[in-house]
Amino acid sequence: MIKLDNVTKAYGKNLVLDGVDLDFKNTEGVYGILGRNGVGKTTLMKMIFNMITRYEGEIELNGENVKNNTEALKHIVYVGGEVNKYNGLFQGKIKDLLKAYTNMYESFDREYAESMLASFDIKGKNKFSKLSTGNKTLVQNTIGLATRAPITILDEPTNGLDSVNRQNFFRFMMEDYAKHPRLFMLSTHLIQEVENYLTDVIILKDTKVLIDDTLENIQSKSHLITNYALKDKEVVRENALGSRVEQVIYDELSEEERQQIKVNGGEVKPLDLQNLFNALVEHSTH
Amino acid sequence: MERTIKFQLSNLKKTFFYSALIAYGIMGLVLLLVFFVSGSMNPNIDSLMFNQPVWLALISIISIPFTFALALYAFMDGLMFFDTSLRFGISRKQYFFNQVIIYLILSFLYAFATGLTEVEWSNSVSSYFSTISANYLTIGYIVNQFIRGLLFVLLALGVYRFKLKAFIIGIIAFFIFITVGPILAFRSLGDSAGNSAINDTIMNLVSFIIDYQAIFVALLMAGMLGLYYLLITKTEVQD
Repeated sequence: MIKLDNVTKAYGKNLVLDGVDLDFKNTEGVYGILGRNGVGKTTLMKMIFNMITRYEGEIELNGENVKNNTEALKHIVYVGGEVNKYNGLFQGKIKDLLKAYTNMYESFDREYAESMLASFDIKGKNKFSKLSTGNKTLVQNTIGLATRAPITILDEPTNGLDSVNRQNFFRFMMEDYAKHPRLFMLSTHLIQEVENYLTDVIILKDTKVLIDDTLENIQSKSHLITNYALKDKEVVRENALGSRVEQVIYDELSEEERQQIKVNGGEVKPLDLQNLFNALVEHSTH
Repeated sequence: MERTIKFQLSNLKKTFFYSALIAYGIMGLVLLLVFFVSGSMNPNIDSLMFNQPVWLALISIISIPFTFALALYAFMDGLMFFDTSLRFGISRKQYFFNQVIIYLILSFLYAFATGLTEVEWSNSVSSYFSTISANYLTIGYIVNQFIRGLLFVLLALGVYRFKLKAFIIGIIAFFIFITVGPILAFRSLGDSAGNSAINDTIMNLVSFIIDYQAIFVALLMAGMLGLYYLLITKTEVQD
């Protein structure tokens, strides 16, 4: 579906993405784009949606270059982030914004958008610019879901949301996804919150793609080993606290290796995505 | 293509709505002011309004918003429509080509509306419209309005892209334009005892530009279109 071929983006001398190759093969996947602040998550997503056009390499949708391609772009929606203060439409009344999306996207479900906003107690007559950060995020998320574009990009969909609204939003998202399966791209820092909803994960680090795999594969390769140190494995992090050794491994473990650890008094625990992410982006062993 | 046209038609609708609000708002205020100052309708306004056939007065009043639409559309393009187009996934190149056509149409409408409001009724439909056609609906006049529209949109896009810096540069450029020109003209005319070589060069340059005005206007327009294209295709969405 969406494919990035050797994409490089720099702001002046600051290289943000360097020769990135990605293939969003799963057309009904929920991709988590993860990385630390400033690593290029938003840049990557904005490039896919033609909001940024000055880059090297190629971004394709179903084999066609997306740059300035109206046909390709109508299958994508991007929401999130700050909106320019001069943009009277996007800063104006929410009902006008919904009307504009209805006009621009045939698949936009206005009734769904209105009911979702009502459930969050956000009124259409309110101005977007006057909303709190959390409510702005909810309006953007609502638009993203209601557009039902085959590729839905949500940039920081949890920005400013309290735990109740986060839970409610993901409930809406998963219900809508079940009825209208499509490709989602989410960027977020709250990995624990999204881990249950992701099917695929892309981790960016130091201008490169560190991991691009299904969540299932990542989970099967993420281990925390205590009281024993394995060799010849992808050790992401290793801590020695006195006689106690702790290893974060990102690799397959065979049954023999598991037995070996156990026999030697060690323990293997699965590692959640958040902890793997922290270990991966903190250190450069991997 | 269809989405781009739909988007731009909706922008035009918005522009005409706000132009009408501004135009009729100003008209209403002026009439109110005249009424309160003179105690009744000013006879001059009276005669101006009723010295022409009703149908023409009606067309003139209807067309007044078109005199505001070009500038308003250009400012809204730079500050709002372009940003919105990026958020709706509109092709930048398609957007640019359609915008050029829209600016040409708006320039034509501006020229026609200005003609309607400025040319006095001569008791003959044919002579009235031939005066408008000869003085306002010329390529030169329309191109001048088109360039004016481009100037506004470049300034607005500059503010969108470079924030206040573009505005300051615009003000400085405008200040230089309105001060340096007259100073040079004054010097070359008045300072006959001064440096005649500089004066001659300035005078020659001015007469050269006047002689080849069409080429210079075409070059200016091409340059501005190039800059507009560059800003549309390269500017990243701004937060």
